[in-house]
Amino acid sequence: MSTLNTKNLSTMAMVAISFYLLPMQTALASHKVYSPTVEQGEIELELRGHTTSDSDPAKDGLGKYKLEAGYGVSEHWFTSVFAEYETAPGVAASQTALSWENIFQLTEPGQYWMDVGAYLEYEHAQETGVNDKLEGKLLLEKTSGAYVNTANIVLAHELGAGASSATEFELAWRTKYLLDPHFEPSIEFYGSYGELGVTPSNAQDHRIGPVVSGRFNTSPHHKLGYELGYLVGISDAAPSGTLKFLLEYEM
Amino acid sequence: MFIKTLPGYTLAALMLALALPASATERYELSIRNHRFEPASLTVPAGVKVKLVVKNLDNSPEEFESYSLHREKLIPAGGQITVFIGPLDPGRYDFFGEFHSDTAKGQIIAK
Repeated sequence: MSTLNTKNLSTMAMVAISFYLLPMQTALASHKVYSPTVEQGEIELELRGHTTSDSDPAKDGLGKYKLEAGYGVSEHWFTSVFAEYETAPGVAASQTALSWENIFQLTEPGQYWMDVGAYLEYEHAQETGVNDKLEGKLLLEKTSGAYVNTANIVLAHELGAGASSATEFELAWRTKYLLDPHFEPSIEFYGSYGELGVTPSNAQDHRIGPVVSGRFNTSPHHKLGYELGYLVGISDAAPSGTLKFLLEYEM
Repeated sequence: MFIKTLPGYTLAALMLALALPASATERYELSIRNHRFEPASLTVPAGVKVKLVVKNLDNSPEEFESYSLHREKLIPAGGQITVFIGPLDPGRYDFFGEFHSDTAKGQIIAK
């Protein structure tokens, strides 16, 4: 539960300005694994993104980043809006989408063998000739001792005139070790399978790699969090390397 | 080939996991009064799931937080929450109230 006062508003403004300026200097990214657990009353500002590296110029230097503001409306619902930007070598960052994201916590953490949640996102394209998109995710999490295993099963479908009839399938996985609140190592996997049974394996995009994350208390119930990782491409269509990062401020 | 067939195997495994029933749980209670946990130390059996009810008797909200238990949940003023923990290995698991972390501290001892 947060009470908005002048100090909080000033902090939010500073973080928002920092988040706005940072993407102008670097190409950024957006691979993320979502937990099914939400926190009531939490206000969150987040910047995340990635940039790619590859010997193939078509897959090198591509950046995508997202700037997000969210709020824990209840103990079962977290909602946020975010703007998505993309960059390429020699091309200035441009906004490609504006999205509304919702996470629904469906089970109490630890009550069942696995924690379950749902994610629903409406992505409104900002580019001409690009369709809006609806994305749904099943969020699953299982904690075993100090290991937290999280999986997201993703289905995405275009909307509007000229939309593709295909439903695309993606899978995201993270196994995190609760070593220290300031430094938690994990392994993440992202698989983009395209349309199941249709998209050939050489057109699928799969990446895996180590990620570290952590959170620091900046003042009572105010936290600064980070993620930094490097994903290796393990399929033909994936870039050989992806540097990903996340910076968030919670209050 | 493994990557190509991974979605099917994953979905099948997850559906099986979700079909597993919840195990029986023992119930324990904690209270928050004057920004302190009562009792400050709670002993629970190791190796079983525990249902912990935390009542906030203060007139201001508190947040139950424990890194080692992997739990973080808001408790409204005068309200209560249920936290499921474990099965725990024998040992000590610290928790605190994030809004009054100087006084609201406690520990769960799993034996």
